[in-house]
Amino acid sequence: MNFRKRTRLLTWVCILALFPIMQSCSGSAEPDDADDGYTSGGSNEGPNWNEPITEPDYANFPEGYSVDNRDSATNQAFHQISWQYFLWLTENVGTEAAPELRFETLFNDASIHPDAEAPKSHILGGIVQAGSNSILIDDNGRAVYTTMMINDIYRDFVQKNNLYTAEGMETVDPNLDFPKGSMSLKAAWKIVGEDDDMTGYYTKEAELYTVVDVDGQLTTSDNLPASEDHAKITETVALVGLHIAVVVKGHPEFLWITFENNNNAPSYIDKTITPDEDMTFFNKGTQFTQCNRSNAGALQVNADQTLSLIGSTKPLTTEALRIHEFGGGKESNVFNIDSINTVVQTAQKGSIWSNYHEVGAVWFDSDESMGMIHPDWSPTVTDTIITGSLTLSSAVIETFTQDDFDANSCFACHNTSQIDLSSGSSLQGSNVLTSHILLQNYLDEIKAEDEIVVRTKRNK
Amino acid sequence: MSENTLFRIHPTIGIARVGNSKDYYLGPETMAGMPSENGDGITGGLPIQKDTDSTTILSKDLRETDTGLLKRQAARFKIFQYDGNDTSYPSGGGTEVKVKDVITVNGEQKTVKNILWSVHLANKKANTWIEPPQGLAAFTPTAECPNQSPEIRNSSFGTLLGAPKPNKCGVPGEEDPVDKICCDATSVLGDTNRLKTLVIDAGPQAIGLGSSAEFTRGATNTYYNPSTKKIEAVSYPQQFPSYPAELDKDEKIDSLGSIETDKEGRLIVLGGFGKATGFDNITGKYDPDRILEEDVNNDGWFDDTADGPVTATLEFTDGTFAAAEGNSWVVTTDPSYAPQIRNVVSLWDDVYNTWIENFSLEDNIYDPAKWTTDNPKDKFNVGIGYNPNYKPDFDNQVLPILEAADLQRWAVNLKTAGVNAHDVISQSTVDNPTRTDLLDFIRNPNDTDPNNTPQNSTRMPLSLGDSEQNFLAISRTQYFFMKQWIDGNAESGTRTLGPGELLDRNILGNCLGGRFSPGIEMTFIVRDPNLYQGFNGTKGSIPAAGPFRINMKTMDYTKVPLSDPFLTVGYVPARSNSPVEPGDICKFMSIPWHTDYNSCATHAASSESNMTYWSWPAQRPVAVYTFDDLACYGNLDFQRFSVRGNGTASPNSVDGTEVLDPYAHVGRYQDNTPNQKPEQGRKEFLKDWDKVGFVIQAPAINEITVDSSKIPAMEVMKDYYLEVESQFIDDESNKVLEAPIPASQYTAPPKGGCPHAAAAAAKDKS
Repeated sequence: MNFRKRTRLLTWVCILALFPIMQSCSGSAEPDDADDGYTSGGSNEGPNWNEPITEPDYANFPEGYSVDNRDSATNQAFHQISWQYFLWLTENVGTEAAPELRFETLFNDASIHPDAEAPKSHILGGIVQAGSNSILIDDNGRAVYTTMMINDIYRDFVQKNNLYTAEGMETVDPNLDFPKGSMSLKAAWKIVGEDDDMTGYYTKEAELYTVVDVDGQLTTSDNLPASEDHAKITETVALVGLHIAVVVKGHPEFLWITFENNNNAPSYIDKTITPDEDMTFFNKGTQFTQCNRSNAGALQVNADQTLSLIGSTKPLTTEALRIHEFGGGKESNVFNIDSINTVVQTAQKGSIWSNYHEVGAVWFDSDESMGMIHPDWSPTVTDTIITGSLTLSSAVIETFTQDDFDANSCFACHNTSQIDLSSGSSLQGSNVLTSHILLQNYLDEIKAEDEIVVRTKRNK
Repeated sequence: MSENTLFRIHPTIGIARVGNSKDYYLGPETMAGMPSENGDGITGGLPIQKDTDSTTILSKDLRETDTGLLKRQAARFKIFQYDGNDTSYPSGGGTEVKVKDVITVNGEQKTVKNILWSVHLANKKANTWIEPPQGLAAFTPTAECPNQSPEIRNSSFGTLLGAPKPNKCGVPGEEDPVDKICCDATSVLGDTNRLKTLVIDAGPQAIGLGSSAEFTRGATNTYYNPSTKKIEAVSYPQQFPSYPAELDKDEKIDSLGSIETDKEGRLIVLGGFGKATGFDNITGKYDPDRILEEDVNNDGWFDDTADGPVTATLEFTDGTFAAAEGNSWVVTTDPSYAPQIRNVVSLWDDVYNTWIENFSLEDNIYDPAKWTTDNPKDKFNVGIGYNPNYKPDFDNQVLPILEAADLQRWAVNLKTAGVNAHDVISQSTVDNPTRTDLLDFIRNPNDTDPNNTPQNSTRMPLSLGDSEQNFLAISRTQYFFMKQWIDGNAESGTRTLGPGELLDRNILGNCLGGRFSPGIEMTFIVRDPNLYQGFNGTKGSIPAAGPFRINMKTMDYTKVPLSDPFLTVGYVPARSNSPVEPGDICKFMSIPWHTDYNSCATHAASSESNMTYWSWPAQRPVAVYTFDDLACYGNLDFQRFSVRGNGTASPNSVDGTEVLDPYAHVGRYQDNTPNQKPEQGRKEFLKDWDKVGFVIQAPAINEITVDSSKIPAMEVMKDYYLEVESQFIDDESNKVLEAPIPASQYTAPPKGGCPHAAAAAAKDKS
């Protein structure tokens, strides 16, 4: 019996035997790393998944979660709080007739500016994936959209420290950390077509900016100059993925978490195995070599808002594949995620959220001897500091960079490295640069000042 | 005054490049990318105008004005006089000696009457081993296989007549013949019929001031006879491919080049014309329909590149003679389409590293007996032998690496973040590395398991490696110099190379190193200390001729056989006492060179990754900014592929069938699409190789006189390196995207738009 089958069986035995599982099964399955949640005598606390989920205790983490003999957070603790955040953020805080999820009530990313208009408006845009400049296209030829949210702690911190201005970013104390509880989110949404069966997905009506072509690169109409029409459409959309980045006690680097719907895409197992089940972003029989094909600069938008390869009006479809199930990492990490997914989905049975799963989470090793976040750090400098899901990507948010070592870890991009600019100058490396909301805002701010076009707009 | 005057030829290895014009310019004698030496702002590496000492060319000099034919690039050799007591390196000394110079030789004043040069050119590419993916290791003798070597090219040749075939020992479990190793292939290469038919040997030619000679079929061979001290004719068994009598002469390989002298008596060596012809690989007969099945090892093909020794003797007016010590070597090879873009790892860096680590070249840098510390757990480990107290000369030993990195942008589609980082790094000085964390971003050549580290996929140089390494690493010596500098242990202006020593460095510094798969000018054999004079099998020292000289086989032209081949199997890598014959250098390169050039744009780093990276961007430009686009649009918003003629478009689908990995095949004539047979794509480049444009620094571009208000002021674009003189009038390839990029990325049509002024003008002329 292979490892995956063995651990899954164990999990189910535990579920049947006694609940909550995490306590009862601790120590009974140690695939490899005894320090990651399976230390005998350690504590395996955590939320009771049958109870209403309360706000995670980020300020006292890992108190109340699984700790080891030294009261340090175990690998399991991070996945416990990950699920807790997901359920808390997706809780309906509206009415049954007009549901509104908690994360939809947060601020948008533009609201880092104190004078931002409609700071809690969430019109869908952001179709181009970071890193690949490509667009995830569904079976109907439509782009998958995103929204970005921040919470009040994040927003207050940015405004208090003037980080929404170029000057603020250039003069920030490089060691300044985001405070505990700071949170930013990215949600991915698929447009629901007439024939789509989105059972198991959270769906809603939403406003979307239309797809437009700007100099050969597709984007959304909100990126057009202010003088042009920022056209919008209304569609039914389904939540297909959610990124959660949150600072918990002792982890100013953010805990990077991602969830996806179970029916999004298959996970890579073996080159020879081709899933024979249709999924939302995967058609059965598709060879793995045909999956995750990036399309930067190769697309056109048609009158019906479908996307196709330039020169063809036949809508293109991205066949998505999850390259690293649970984001890889140690066997215990994979085991813990797999286990807690089963536990919570079982406990939440009947809820729409039981159809979602934690793909993975990644953070810095809690053992401070491994180092803490510091300016000018990236995995290229040292990668031993990272733990959890080391090659974590969302199949619907980072579809195209999953096997690119340069981009298939959250920290590969969300790090504190110096940012070199086209002018030959640099933005100093600083801890707040882990947030790309701030980085993108800085680049936008200086672009307005910087008229140097040569060497900046390359190969668009 | 010394009583022991030495004469040496420089450069030790000269490079001539093919062209389809009979005309030529001289190869560059400054090093690519290095700052201007005369204040004109033009960086090193630009070729030199014919009949001048150092006047660099303008873009109009690259082709014939009327025909557009591509001029050849000549190799120039010079004689330098040294104080023979000084055998250290670098000596910092040496004075050029020209005809009519009055010099002091061993205390006596003499006038140089003539310099008598001898050159012998041959091409053994069709009678050699295949290019082994293992590199030099494929030749390393083992207990089971003391004559281990890769398989051979044209292994079927002559087998119908009973010629021997090599015994394939093979690697257990390996099915790919490329990986198979042979025990006795070398002896098969010595079969007389193979040597007669598969080796192109133009024989020797010798000249003095004012004369010239052709390495041409039927030309009378000559050589310098040291006994008579005269240039004499020799009846030499030349070998050229056989062709039907009626075949047009332009279709035949009848020449490997020519030699002449300039008015100072220096030697000018010209290579061939970029031809390649096919033959039946069993019978050896000419085959006009021969296909090109491979990128590197094509059975049944000849090309007209070559290599061979260069020797010289000075004749004085008093009737005495003095032979230059040892020999130089000339290699004729591909054109250099981006002469000012330095390779991050150049051929010089590989040759120098081999000499540092195997010869007592500079013991103050490397001495494994003295500096014995090795710390493999240190991510910045430099390995045993490197002196931690050595202070490299920033300008000489560090700056070339930084400049090379900065210049890559003009030949590759590097993503903006990388370009920006290079902008910052290029502002570094000896005392101030602009990024002190720079070493974190550079691949350590001492890493014991570089293929298994994800970090190594993100480090520099961001291009492909060789010898079963996924990625390129700078040489150990380069890494050591970089580390010393970053650690604050560098100086400036402390190292002086003599003018001859500069020639040695600069010529090789303008050639490809690092990724010998097989490469452009020379390949992995430069890492074999046995290739050079001064190595005794275990340890090397600097010979009287000076370092970096090929270990030439002594050739006695007084004993030339009447009809049997004069040349033998020749040099075998990793063997002591294996001297080098004419044709032994180029035999490791692609046959023909065109197919490898076409192919080596970008490739996946390994079968485990979908990401593609560059092969030899500074020597084989992948993506360029064209001058015509700048003149048209007034900005550098996009690039085009350098190779972009009819047949280079990599489609997403053919007849409704999706093509997998279309972006793995961009920027070259196609070899993978269902509707195009590989041999067709490769053969197209045989016709179009001379159409490729040149990447030249803006101040050297004539077309700037084109009337366009959009061309920026020279002050703005003085450091732009733009493609000119391309004869691809329409861009028929694909849109260039920022990279590295996945192989499976969909392609798109290239940017259309403006007419291409220079290319259109060329079309009008043709």
